[in-house]
Amino acid sequence: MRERALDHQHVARLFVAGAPESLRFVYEAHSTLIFSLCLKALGNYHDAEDCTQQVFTRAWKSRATYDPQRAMGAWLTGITRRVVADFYAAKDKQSKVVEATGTNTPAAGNGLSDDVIQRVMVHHSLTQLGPPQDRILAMVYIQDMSQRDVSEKLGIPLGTVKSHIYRGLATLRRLWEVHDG
Amino acid sequence: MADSSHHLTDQQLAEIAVEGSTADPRDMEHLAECAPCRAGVADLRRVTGLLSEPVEILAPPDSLWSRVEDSMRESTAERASAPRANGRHAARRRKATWGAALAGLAVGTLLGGAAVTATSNLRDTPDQAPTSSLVTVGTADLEPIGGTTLHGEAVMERDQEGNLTLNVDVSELADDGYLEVWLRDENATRLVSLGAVTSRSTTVDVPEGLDLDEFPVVDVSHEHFDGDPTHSSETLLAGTMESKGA
Repeated sequence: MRERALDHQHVARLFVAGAPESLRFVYEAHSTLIFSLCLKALGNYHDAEDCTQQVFTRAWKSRATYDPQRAMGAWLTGITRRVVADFYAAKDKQSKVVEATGTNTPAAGNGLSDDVIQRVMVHHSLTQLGPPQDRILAMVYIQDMSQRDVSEKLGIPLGTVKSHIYRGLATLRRLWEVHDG
Repeated sequence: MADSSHHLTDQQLAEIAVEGSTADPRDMEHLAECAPCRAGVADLRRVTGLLSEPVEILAPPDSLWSRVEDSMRESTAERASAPRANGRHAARRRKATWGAALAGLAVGTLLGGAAVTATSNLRDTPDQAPTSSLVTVGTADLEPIGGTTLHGEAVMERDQEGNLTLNVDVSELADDGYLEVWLRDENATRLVSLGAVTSRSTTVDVPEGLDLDEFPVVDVSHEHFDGDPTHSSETLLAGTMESKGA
């Protein structure tokens, strides 16, 4: 984990310096998070792909404004929020004529709420936890299984299941705070 | 286990978030008195709440990377070929400075440990007045590598705001693919791309904050339109920046 963090710092410095190869690393580390955010906000693959492309293009153009001390994921999430808002603004303009006729109220919640961003971030972090914590947490919190059932199903002692849950949650909280801050 | 005077560990906080308490009553005593630990438990409960609301996590299709890369290349090329924002006479000024640099201003010490930004080039000839806003901080003779007939020179300049640019002159351009200019260390283990060399005299921006002591070598590589943003390992020209003494 610590080694990865150092790698990220190195990549972040190269990114700010404008080394083209750094964007590939940034993309590989964060494209799943950004694409999942866009997918959740826009509801279809086509628009999610367009917006994801825009997020990384904007990130590259404004790389000088990135502070390597900050979490790259949080910075990219901020850009994603603006790209999604712009996407809806453009769509809104296009449909103004239709809306002028009346009944359709544009949803004020178009775009990415904090709640949606946090959900996507936590579930994205879950995919990065690694086994068996990712599987155990998914069984307990997504499939709503009891700790005892998980223990029996996986053939792992109950105490071990518990400590995987605690350690997994502690890691998710740290990742979440990094993104949040 | 922690007594009431120490903060609870992350795992103890998680245990409390999941089970409501730990086996050690002193943990709960601590929690009652400690706002940061209670906030930790609240965060962990928030995490479990978010976990129980599933959301689809999907990687984008592989094809998306090449689209991102194309738009990155476009924006980098625009930037490299765009005129300098700080004056429409920039190109003329550059040429004049380039001329001055060639006109026999003594080449200073090897850049090595010397900070490029600390040097300056004071000109006393009156006809250099229009160029005074750009200061030559270093030059590099670019030697052919690997048997090419190519040759070239690079001049690094600083404007009044402290922005650095690198002007690269090459004797010819690539027949296939394109040339890209990099700053790198002596061993070529660390590289920073400055952009494509689009004409026989190209000026590219040097990123603010780049430590030139770490990247003293100017490297011109032969690149292909293969979508690979890394150095092709085909260096055509290279030379170490030498600082211009005052």
